[in-house]
Amino acid sequence: MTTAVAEQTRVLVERDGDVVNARQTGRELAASLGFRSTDLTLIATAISEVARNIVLYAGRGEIAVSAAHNGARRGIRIVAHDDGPGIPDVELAMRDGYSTGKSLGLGLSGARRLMDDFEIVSEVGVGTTITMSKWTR
Amino acid sequence: MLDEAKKLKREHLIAMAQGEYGSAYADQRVRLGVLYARVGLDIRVFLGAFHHLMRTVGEEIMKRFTKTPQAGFDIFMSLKKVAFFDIAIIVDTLIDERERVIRAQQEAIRELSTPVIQIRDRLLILPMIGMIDSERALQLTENLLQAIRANRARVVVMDITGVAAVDSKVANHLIQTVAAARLMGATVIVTGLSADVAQALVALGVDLGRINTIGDLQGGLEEAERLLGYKVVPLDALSNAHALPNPRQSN
Amino acid sequence: MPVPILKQGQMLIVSMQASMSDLDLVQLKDDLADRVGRFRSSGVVIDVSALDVMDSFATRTLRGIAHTTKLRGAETVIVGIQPEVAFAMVQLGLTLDDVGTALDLEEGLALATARKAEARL
Repeated sequence: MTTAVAEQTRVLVERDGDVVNARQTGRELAASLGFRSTDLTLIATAISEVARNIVLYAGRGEIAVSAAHNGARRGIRIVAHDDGPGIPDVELAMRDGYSTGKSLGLGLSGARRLMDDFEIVSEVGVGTTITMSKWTR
Repeated sequence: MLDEAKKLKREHLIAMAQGEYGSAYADQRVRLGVLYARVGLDIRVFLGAFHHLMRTVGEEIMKRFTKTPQAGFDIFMSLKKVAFFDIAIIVDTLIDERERVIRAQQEAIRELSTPVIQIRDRLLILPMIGMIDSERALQLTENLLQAIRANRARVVVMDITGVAAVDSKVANHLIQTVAAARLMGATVIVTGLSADVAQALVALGVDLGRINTIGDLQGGLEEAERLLGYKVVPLDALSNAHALPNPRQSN
Repeated sequence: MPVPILKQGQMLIVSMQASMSDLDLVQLKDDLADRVGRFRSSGVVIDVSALDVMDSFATRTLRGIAHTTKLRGAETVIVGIQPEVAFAMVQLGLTLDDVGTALDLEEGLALATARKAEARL
């Protein structure tokens, strides 16, 4: 499956205000791609989760949003990257049930539920890159 | 449209023999396919016509190669290769179009079959009927949540008596809908969940404790009315002094 | 930017804005705790209808505020969660079970009053 990626819009994420920026940017692009309004909220929420993680655990990072294509389908791709501490056990983090309100809840499993494709690469001491996409229905 | 078809057909035939089979050629085939789809051409008719074309051309070729039939056959086989390429593209396009139409119709059916009805102030009923797949469940939830806001509903009676198959997936959709409605301040009462199905779901590990279930629709409505502070009283229970003429008595 | 807290009888009313910073949220929690104590408020209604997204952080924060005000004797009700936001929250697995929720301000005030009455029994 080849996916073509168009230009990216990158948002620097360092503090809580940037979380709002990142999700607004994502929402605007998604709207221009024709996503229905429920999906706009899902996308913005997923971005909010990963952006918040960057602020809380990595200190600073970057979120890049771009349009993506898969054959005839259009979609949005979000890449959240940081050079932070990395996640020691990604499996565990993805399984973490933060609906109980645990402060360690990374929101990653949630973001995955909201998006169609989700990939995470993380190395302790190096950083984390999350790539997620959602396709128009 | 007929003129466009004839023009395309001529170009089609000429191009087939040209020798250039790049993306422009393929595009032309797709356009032809879309045109056929639009007029509702039956695939069998198309294939029959193509077969007829090949046969006609084949006979012409063989007439000119009576001395060297092998050479004639080779030429025909080359043409056949192109023909199959054509057929593949056009049939693909026809199928694509058909699927697109089916999807659009399914969408329309979904729209029609997810009604949310306000039966009383602050009370909504959502009668669910038929197969509930993920797409439909999503649509239902969205419609319901919008309706809760629009009608300022405080209680929703979701009746699943008519739902074809209640498996754990459907049950989880229901649970999610109930949870989302609660976030908007509305209580959901699920009716029509038979004891058997409930037991089966619990055995599958579905946590039904999160949803308020009542056997039948009538019971559910009564509970809903109770929650809203309504009390339904038959007319002849009203005191005689204030009684309106009883409609059953006049005839 | 500090968030205004309105007092209506025994109730305190707050409208959350999407642009609130983390610092504003901490400030809000402290201000509410302070006021609930001072006015002996019985309820706090937090209106989130301006929020287009409620992620796990926002939800945790709201729960934290509700918990704090409850310790001071007031029932908290969250109102105005938009349909799409409710949908997204549920997909994420977020609940506000321990906090009251209502459709809008009017419903919220009624609910807070009712919950306080129940709590007294």
